[in-house]
Amino acid sequence: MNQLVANAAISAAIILLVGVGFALIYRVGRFFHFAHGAAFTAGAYMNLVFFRVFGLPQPLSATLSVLTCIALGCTMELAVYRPLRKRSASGVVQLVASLGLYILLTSLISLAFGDQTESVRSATIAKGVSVAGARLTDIQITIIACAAVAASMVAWALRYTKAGREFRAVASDPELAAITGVRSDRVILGAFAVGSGLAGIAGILVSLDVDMRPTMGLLPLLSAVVAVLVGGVGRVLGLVMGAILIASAQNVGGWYLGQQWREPVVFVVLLGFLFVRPEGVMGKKLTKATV
Amino acid sequence: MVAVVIAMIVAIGQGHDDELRIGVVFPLTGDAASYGEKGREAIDLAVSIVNAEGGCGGRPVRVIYEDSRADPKTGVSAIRKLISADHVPIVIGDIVSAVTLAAAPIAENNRVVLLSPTSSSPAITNAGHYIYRIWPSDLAEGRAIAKLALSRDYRRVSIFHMNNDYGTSIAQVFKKTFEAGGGSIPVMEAYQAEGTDYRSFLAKMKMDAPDALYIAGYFADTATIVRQLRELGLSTQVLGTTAVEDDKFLQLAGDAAEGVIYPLATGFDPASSDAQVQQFVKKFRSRYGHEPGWVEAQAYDAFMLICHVASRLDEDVTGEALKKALDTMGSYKGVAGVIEFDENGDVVKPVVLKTVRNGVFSRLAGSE
Repeated sequence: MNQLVANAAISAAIILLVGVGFALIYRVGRFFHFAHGAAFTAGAYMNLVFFRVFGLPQPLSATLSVLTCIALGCTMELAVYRPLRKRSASGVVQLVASLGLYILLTSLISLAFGDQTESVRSATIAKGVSVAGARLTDIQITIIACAAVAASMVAWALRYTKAGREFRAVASDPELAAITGVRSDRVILGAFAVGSGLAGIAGILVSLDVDMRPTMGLLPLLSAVVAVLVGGVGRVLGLVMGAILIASAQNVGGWYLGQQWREPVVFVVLLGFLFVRPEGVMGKKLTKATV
Repeated sequence: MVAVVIAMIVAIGQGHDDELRIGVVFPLTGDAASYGEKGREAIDLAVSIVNAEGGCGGRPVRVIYEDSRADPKTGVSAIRKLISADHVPIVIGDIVSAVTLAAAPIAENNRVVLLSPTSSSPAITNAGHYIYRIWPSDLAEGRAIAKLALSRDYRRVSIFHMNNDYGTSIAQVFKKTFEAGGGSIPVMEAYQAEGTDYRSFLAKMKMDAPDALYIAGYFADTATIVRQLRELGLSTQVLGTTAVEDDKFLQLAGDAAEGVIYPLATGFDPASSDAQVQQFVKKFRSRYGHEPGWVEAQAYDAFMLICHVASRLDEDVTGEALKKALDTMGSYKGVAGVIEFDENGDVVKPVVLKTVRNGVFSRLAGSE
């Protein structure tokens, strides 16, 4: 049973790492950036290139890969989303564009590397360390630690730094923010940089844990989207709770219903929330008086 | 009067002259033509050997080839022609499963034996009473590994299978065989091909602690599952499929590949020291100037098997007589291994059990 909790913690950490970036971009960009999943996959494959093709040591290789992901995210914003925004494209148009980008990028990866599973792990199996009766490998502990650090840092930065205040200003009202001198384009670009970097980190860590395939980004992305919707977009804490809820649903569902139900369960949870609490776990119910 | 004439024509057509006619449907043109040509070379060689020795039990043999182009529709007209115009009691074919399956109902309805040298689709098992093959069904491996589990006195084996035709059907066969032998299956679950996180299932292994885990899938997913299993600190014995024998499996699974047991159907080994195999290889090489491969060996065996059972028939060689002879023949030793049929006309070939030892695919000690 402890293993079940540990497994859920790993899943939650991955969802959180992907979800934080997705939520940052969603709050200021106001659209679903599905190509976020491609940044995740790109992180894993760039690490494959730097580590195996160029033979760089793993820490350096991972750092370069994350930087590439940041560049990729910024390029998507500058080359696709910003021009669309300037032409007043709606959120739906940007969503379709992001789906197109996702398909384009994953197809490029599969053309370059093939559809088969690739691995950067060593041949030696590290038996996990025992934590309260559950086994966790070093890389799995790293995933959980990274997610915790990333989520706390983002939460702290949003609250206490100037960039965070500007971000919240653009998120709540771009026009009002512009009047007070906040340049929303720069804020959105920053969100893409941070978000894509986090997605890249998640992709690299996941590939170090369970190998990589060109389609690896889709399931974590969809789980993260559901966690964002369930947790409410406003707060990092809500997202943390959303991620834990989705990860628990996946693992408990997988336990009782069978492995193949892991993913469907996520969407059952989403449907349930849309019916019962569309504003999310942390959302405030708007009463008529406050509207 | 007309009836008598027709009866006479049919009687003549069915070859009351002592000649044995064998129809062959192979892809002689098209994408799979190279397989068909290989098969034809082997059968031509076999015919010349047999006829030089006086035929099959005194009956000279004549082979009539028809081209299927590896296309089911063409294959159907080919077998129709062989049955209605050439009145053959037996057809060897096809190389590819799709044509064998399409031709099967026609052979069945006309009570003509259809013997495929190489078709592996599980659907052929139930394609008809007159349908035989000397290539094991994909399902044979599921049965073989279940028998190994029983012979090792495993009482409880969990199954984790890929959610596709291959994984599901061999998992079912494993379950059936294992339970019939007194074993039990604590957990049987499917996984999606595109998943990477198998821990929900593997956590159960920790609780249930079965004697072994049977993973019915391809090499990449098996590698990831085995790896996650070992990372969880479990040393459960892993049983795999034939698909495991791939160098990529060793690379992906790393140390975790060590000790995985999987079945492999025995086949043609040109380097074998067996006299029968050596003679076949020598004759083939001197006639064609190159080495025979597994297609040649299977086609050769198919022909020689028919000749073997036909030569033991005292009565006329009809489809019914051949079927009866095949059902009761016991075992026949060919160049690609011993052939024995089960009640469905599937070949029961000895399966060797292999394992990964020190990073190399090796014979499992103690298996025949």
